[in-house]
Amino acid sequence: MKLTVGERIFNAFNNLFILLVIAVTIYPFLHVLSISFSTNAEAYRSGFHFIPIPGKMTIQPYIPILTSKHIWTGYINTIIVTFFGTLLGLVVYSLLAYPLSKKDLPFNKLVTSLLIFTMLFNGGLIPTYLTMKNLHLLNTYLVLILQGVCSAFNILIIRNFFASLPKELEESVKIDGGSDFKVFTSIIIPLSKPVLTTIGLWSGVWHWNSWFASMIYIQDPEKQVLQVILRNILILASGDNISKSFFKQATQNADYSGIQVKSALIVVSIIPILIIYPFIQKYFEKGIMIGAVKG
Amino acid sequence: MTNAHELTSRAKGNEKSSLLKRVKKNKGLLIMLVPGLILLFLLYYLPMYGVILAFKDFNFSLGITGSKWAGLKYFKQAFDDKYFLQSLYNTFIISGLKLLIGFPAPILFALLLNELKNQKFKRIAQASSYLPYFVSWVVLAGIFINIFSPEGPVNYIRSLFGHESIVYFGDPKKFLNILVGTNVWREMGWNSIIFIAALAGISPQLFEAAYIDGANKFKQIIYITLPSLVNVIIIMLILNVGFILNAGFDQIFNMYNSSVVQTAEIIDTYVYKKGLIEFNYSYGTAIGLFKSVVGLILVIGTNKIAVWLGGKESSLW
Repeated sequence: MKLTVGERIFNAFNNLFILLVIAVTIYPFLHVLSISFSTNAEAYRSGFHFIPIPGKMTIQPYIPILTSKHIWTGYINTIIVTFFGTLLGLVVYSLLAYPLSKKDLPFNKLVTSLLIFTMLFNGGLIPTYLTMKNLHLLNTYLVLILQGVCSAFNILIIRNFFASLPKELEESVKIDGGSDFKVFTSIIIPLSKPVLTTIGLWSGVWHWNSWFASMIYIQDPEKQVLQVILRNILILASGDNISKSFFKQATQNADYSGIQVKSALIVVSIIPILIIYPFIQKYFEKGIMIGAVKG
Repeated sequence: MTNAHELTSRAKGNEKSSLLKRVKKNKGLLIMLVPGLILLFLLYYLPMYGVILAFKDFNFSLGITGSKWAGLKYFKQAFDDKYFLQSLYNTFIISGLKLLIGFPAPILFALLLNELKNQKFKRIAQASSYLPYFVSWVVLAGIFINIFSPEGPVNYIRSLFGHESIVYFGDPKKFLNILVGTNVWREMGWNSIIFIAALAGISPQLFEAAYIDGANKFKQIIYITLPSLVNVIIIMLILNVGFILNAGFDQIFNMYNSSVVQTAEIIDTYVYKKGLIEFNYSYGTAIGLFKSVVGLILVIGTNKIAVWLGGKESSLW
């Protein structure tokens, strides 16, 4: 097809526009990355900061972060919650999804409705908080690990995938006298690696980023997750004792001050996501496609 | 008469025994449901029982069940509370603005992306467009406080044009623009995926035929591309309206401050304040319940419309 002049002009502008969108999307991340490696004078220079400038560079802002006990505690807590939360989530999702993928299962409609209803209505903040309190889950890792463990959305996606698997495979195990659970562990789970990987990555990122549950349920600073420590330092600006002691320690050196340390903290917190992003990005696209198919 | 009666009762008996048979036959599968059902009960349905707190005067020592009934006292209080009414109004304004700007943006982005000739460029553009979606609002708030600060790049651009710098996070009106803008920035790429998928599903033959008939690119978009997207667009719009009471707690809670509460306080942040900061549990529960019930009606209503327009596969569930 030959392009008209109008189409050529359109294409040129379109390329330019998309380029601008990419720039606007990526720039804020470059900005903090660049500030985090900047000397004091450079960091407070008004204007754009694309890349750290040689000669005006320093790794000083990272030192108080990498030596801070609180940041490490938060990091480790986040890793613990993310790992066990994702693992438990996958187990619970699959255990619910497999029976529900059988159309002729008794009570299937009832259980599915109970699940879907949780997407539409919930007890709300305060009754949920009081329930967790009554269950003695405050200040435990468990309450954080349990967040999202019954996500109806994830369960329905996995259920639909299970339902699409060929029945003949299951029958071969059943003829040999295998139980439903045997079918589940030896046939269904191995065949479902793509969907389980997608959902696993999904809930992994979700747990990594989650902060609200930790903020309201956890008072013990030893069990606080990274996002809440970040929030206290970045947004509340040294409101609590941890942030106060952190900042006192962090800004003793005159070569850098709050803004660089905050930026470095942001960089440290999103590095894990940036590292796995190119790898997971294609899985997420698949995930949303699977989610669009309902049954 | 007796025969008929006997028949129905026998049929009922059969049904019962066949249910029992089906339960026995599926015993293994049903046992697998148990752990999930226990968690579902503890984490979701127990809190739902807790909403009765909205109709009680909560007393710490008596607990949810023991506290005395208060009737509709807290709902009446809510509608006399000008801060609550303001937060209700703000919720609609913020959601409405986000819908107005944030809904067409991913459609436009998908259309423009679809016109890119260079496939590699297209992939890079798409992949980078939803990077922000994977970063929490805690971190993004930290980033944007920087970007919109007096020394930040936004005010720097203003200074190039000779404008005074603006304290974006301190101006109630400007702050709304920040909320809408940063929300579009974060979610446009992600929300465009479904439209990009719909675009990929359009048969290329349609475009070839139109080209042969002399339709230019612009006409092809008007007469082929947009009509093929119309169904998805309408369904997505309706579903978005259903969630209009969710104005974005994570974003607002992390970005707002006392100088912008007047325009930025939404129901969710107000519930948090009343309940967990001021320990007014019953009042907080009442407002939360009001939001949940109106939200439920909206979602069910809009879903009905979606099914009516687009058939069963347009349903949320």
